[in-house]
Amino acid sequence: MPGTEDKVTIVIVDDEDMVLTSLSSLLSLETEYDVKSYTSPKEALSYVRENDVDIVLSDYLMPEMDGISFLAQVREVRPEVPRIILTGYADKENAIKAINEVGLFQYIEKPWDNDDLLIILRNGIERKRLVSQLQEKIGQINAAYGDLQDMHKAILKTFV
Amino acid sequence: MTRPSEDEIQRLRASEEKYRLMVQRANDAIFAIDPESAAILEVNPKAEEMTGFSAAELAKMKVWDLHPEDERELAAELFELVSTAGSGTRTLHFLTKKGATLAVDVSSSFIKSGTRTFIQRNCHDVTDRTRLEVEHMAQRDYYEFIFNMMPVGVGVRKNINNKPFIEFENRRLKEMFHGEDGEHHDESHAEWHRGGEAPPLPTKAILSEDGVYSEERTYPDGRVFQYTLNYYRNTDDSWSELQVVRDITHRKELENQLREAMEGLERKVEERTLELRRKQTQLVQSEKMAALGHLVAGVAHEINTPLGALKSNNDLLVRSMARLRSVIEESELSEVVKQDTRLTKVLDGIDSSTGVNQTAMERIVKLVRSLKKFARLDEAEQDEVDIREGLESTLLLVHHELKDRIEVHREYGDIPRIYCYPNQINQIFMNVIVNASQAIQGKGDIFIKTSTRDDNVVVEFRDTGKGISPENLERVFDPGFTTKGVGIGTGLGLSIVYQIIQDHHGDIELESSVGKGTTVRIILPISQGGKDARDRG
Repeated sequence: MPGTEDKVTIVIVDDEDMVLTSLSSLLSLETEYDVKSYTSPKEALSYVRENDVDIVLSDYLMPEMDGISFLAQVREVRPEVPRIILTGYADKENAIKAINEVGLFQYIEKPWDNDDLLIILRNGIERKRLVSQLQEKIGQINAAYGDLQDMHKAILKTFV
Repeated sequence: MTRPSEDEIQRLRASEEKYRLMVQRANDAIFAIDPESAAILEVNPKAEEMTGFSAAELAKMKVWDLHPEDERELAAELFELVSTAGSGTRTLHFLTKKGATLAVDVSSSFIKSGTRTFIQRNCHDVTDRTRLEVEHMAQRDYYEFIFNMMPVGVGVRKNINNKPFIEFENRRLKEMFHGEDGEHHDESHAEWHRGGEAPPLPTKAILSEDGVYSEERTYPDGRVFQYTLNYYRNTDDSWSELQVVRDITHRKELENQLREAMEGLERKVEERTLELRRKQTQLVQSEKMAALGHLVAGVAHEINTPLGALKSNNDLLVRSMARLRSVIEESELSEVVKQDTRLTKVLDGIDSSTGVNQTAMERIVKLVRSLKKFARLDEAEQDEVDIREGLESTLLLVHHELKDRIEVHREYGDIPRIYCYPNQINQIFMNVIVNASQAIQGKGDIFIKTSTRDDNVVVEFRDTGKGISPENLERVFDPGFTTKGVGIGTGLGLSIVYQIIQDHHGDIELESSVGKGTTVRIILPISQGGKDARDRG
């Protein structure tokens, strides 16, 4: 478990290379995250299908597939992964629609503030980690409960 | 008494014979009547012929026996008159032996011949004349009937340049001046026909135009008569006037109604045209706003992406520099770097550059944000807003029009938020501020003041521009009116402003004096009107 904590994977999607470069540089300077950046949402999606990821950040307006559809598919594959949209589009109405439809973790407007972005990412990752831990504990409890049930049966068998 | 000479006797005899022959051959019936008894003494052959009685039969009759029962009194009177006064005339009838009547002019005179006295009665047959008279009367009635059937007034005035009198009026003319019954002709009614004024004399000037004089006359009771007067000179040199008078009151009324209807129509067309033009402006305006919205959204996105990268990278550079400095600080290089001025210059240069970058980018960020706010893409619906924010974002957008040249003085008073379409209100501010800046040649000032008045918010824009002339002031809200010339003004600015204010149930006040400047006051209701505007939309 400590091993997974060390290795945080973040997927970034934007059709503009300059955004990807800028974000990668920032993250490599300020964090130890393993950054996977894609200009194609489809490629990003196939990566997410194959690999466990901790957080996904996507642009809104992209020629191949818009950010909302992309994040909706990410949710299908990995519902526990927090999803963030980054948009330069000035249409709040659509953004709110997206948040409700896809269940976004956060909505960031371009141009963004690096400090804010880092905090949001950290919070997202933390949330994912906590949810995973919670899931793990629930699994442990369930397993323990199963063991308990078996023991209970064994005891009954012994006495009856 | 001397005896008459032979000659004289001879002459008298001849005279008597001549007289007797005249009587015998006369074409009139001649009777000699006894002045005492009225008995018929002698008759000529014509008398026998006309009465149908023989001389012997007539000799037994009194003079009045010649006439029908109802004329005997008159005949007796004539006899009395002649007996006393010496002569007299009457128009009477003979009752012939066959019982027919015969019209005769009777002329009687008392004759004294020597010792003999008698009454000579000449009776002239006037049957033909009477027949002509009757025919004449019938013809007169016939024409009168025709004239009376005419729907126009026809009359004849005689002797118009001396003592005028009415010779003839048809029924219509009487009705026109004397009411339905047609009775009463007063003395002045000739003048009445002409509205109480003396009639024009048939001067050469009048007669030169085919002898016809025309005029229309309006009476105090509202009736309008059209006169057509014809003049002709009688044989005695007096003048007569033939009047044809038409009552054109109804026609005049119709004409007036028609004219009013036409004017009303023209006015309506004008109003509708203006209304249509306003509607069109409004349409153009909303199309423009929609287009602007799309444009701004697209541009904002296109700018924000590279701007995001730039901003992030600059921040990265700042962070990297901080990291670099702390790395140097912690290493043994610290002192070396401090000594090397070239190196410190490079590092300081990078720091100051990133600082400038930061400021420059903040400005771009603010501008894009203002553009978004101005278009209010996320607030195309009505909202409660503080319009001072709208003023600020508008001022930022028109900054390039004003900078250096015009100083903006903000005198913002406390105002409540108002319910409105924020993007439309911003459009108003934009148009008014741009107008003010274009009115200012060279340097000047714009004073923007916000305040409240009753249940309204008032935004006042005062400029020190060239002002608007009074005749142009009336037209500034007309769509298409511009004084700025092609390429500068669309002529739609204030018309759009007016439309938006109307939609918000607000008002606009304009004061201007040439050479001093213009004040535009925009009055917007705080709540109610705005909500209505939404219902209408």
